[in-house]
Amino acid sequence: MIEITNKPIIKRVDNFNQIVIEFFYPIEALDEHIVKNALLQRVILEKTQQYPMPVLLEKAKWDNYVINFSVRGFDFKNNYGLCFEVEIPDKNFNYDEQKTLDFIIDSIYHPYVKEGEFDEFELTKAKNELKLSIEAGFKNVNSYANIRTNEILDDDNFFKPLYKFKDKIAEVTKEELYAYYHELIETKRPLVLVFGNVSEKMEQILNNYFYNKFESNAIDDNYFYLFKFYKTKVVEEQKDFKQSIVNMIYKASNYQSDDMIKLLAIKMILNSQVTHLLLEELRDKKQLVYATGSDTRVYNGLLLINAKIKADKKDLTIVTIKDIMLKLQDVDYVKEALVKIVQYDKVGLEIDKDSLTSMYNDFSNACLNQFKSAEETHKALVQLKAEELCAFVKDLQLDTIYFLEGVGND
Amino acid sequence: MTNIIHETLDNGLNIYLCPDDKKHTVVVDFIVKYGGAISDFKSNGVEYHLNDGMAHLIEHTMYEKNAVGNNREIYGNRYMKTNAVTRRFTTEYYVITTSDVNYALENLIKSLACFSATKEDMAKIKEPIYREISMHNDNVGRRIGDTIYENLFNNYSYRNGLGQEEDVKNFDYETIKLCFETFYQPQNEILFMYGNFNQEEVLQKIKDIYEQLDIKKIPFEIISKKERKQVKNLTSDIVMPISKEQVTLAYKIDLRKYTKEEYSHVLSYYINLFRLMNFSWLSPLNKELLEDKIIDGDLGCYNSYYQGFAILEICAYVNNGSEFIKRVQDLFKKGFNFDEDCFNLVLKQSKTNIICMDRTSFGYSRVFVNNIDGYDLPELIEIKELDNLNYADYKKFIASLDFKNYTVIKVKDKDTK
Repeated sequence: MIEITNKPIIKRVDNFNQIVIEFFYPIEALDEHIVKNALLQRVILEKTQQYPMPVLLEKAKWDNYVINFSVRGFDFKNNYGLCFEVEIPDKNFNYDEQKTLDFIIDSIYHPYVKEGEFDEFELTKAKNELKLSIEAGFKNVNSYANIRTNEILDDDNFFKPLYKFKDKIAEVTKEELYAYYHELIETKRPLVLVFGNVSEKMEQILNNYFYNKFESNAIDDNYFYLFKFYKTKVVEEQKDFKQSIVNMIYKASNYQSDDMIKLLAIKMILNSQVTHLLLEELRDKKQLVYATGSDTRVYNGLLLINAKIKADKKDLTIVTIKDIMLKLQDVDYVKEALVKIVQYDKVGLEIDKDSLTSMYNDFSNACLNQFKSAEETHKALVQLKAEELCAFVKDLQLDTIYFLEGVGND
Repeated sequence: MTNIIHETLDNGLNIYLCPDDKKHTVVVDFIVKYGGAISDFKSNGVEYHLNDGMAHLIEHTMYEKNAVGNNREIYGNRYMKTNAVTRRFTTEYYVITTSDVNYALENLIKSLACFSATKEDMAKIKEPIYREISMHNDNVGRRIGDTIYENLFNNYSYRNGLGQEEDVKNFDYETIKLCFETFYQPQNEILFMYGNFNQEEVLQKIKDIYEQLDIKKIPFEIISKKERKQVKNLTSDIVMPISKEQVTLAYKIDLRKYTKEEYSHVLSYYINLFRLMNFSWLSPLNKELLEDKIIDGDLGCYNSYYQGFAILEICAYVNNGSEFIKRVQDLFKKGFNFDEDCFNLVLKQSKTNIICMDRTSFGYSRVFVNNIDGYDLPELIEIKELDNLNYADYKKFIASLDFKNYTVIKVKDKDTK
């Protein structure tokens, strides 16, 4: 568990002109929270008590030198919640830090609420937008393929996608949404992360906001959930899209936290510009794809490979991907590939030093115990042996082959 | 503010260098002023009129089968990042590196100096492009974008940079090579660099590389066309998978009496503010349309610039498409929402962004390439441009615009009644 302390966690660096602040508000991951969390995310920063119209709130942001102020939902397996993201100028910029931070905090803690209810207009709008965005997911070729692939691989019904709760959207009342807001935001302490050239004054202001004012709080950092493998599932279907897609999912068996680096290494060998195994085999040698890629779910021991293809190339694509996975069991090949990706990763660390987003994400991941820092990941990559990686690949089980055949035409 | 050093070589190559010793990276960006929207031209006195897709096909060819090899391998072997992008008026090839800038420079320049792909290579290069075209055609926003060009412009045939599969299939080897030799000449190219490098050393290196090359000069010109201010098609329907009917109104606004520089530095800012205050989620129109249940979800609005015309797009998921169109049109008759306070605050915010925005070397190169592609202006954003803006001019400019010419595009699912 990550116990949230009374004080913000601050990392001072002086090579950027902006400060990033994030406020994480966690809550227990219950089904009844899923829809409310998604609706609150859409309602909360539309307008506030002080600025009761979107245009007035936007003007206040501009007037207070706020570069970005937005909110996103998160799902950490055992915690859902909202995260407010703020970007403001650093201490060298001439502005009133107290006034700007007052505006931010006031916007979070005084949303547009009348007599214990959110605004009817904003809630209706949020409900319509949420339904539209769920339905849009089924009409977009990539998200549809991902939705279906997740359904197929998830034998145990672990995933809780929003679309499964679509019928609950209409039921949420203005009072219930406010009660959720009260429980999530007003009661318990948030985790506050601050990154950049932060003045002593700003640190003091942030301390004053949160010190001993809220109930204690924690984030459950047990992010692992391992899917069981039963048998390889092959599902094919036709839809009205122009592209066809093959998605293949491999599950790791006996997966442990030390194996995370192995999944990351496989992803790098498949995707990176120095090894580019997928593009080399699927595009350069066989002209099957324009786009192909792999991804990992490091907390679930899953490796995902996708290829966007012409419908009649399905069988050749699947065989080629299986061959690629066999190549990843070849110690000589993997030894050479590991040398390349270690060096590539080292260069990546250097490139990331110029990027505020990359540097902040590294800090944030470390605070949330989500990944090792980029430096630590690099060290683990250096220590990874080709034999270990090949043995890991050998134990991967092909769980899902999903083929979406596009049959749309003009 | 970032200082740009400019030099033109004897062969006509324009070099723009922005040394910044605070960065850990260098971006080397080679820009050819030949993009997807250039299809009518004279080369060596002969006229050519091509379908969409040629510049993009050449981009793939030069990335995958150039005189030095395949860019992914050339730069990947040195742990550099690379890619290429075809835009409307430019094609760019870039490399991001933390070391050995000379290697990146030498290979980038030499790889683009001659056409070395064979006829057999072309068939292999074309196949993935057909998949890319399918991806484009599955994307609602891109299909609307294609239709906007098709409906608004009478004499310009550009729809998108990829072209259609049949067009790409029909491009023959000789024409591909001719297009390369016509446009990939130093006097039609720009080399932009941003990051941690020594400018004298880099300039000398570039000159040394070109001394080893013999690139023939071919006279060429882009054929300009007359364009009416009226639109070609008043309406279009697109049928494709979509969750709810979407309607887009696209306005063709004649700005040909202004220069590209005036548009980029002043007028684009005014149009941005105008659409923000009148057609975005902040506007009174948005609230009215939502309250009356005419649309679901906020209005979307965008603006762009093509052949001297500003294009203003206003779109929404609709419950009542004809009422949506009527309400938007009514606003043009009733008069717009002007707000001096908002004008000044957006100006303040823009200045804050310019001072505080933490751009990477690659981020700066995006700004530069956008300015070249959009307006043929070799610039990064500077705060002094914002000092030319004032509220009275803004109101006067917007009041002078003619919004009579527009097209309506409806996107429906085949299952929609």
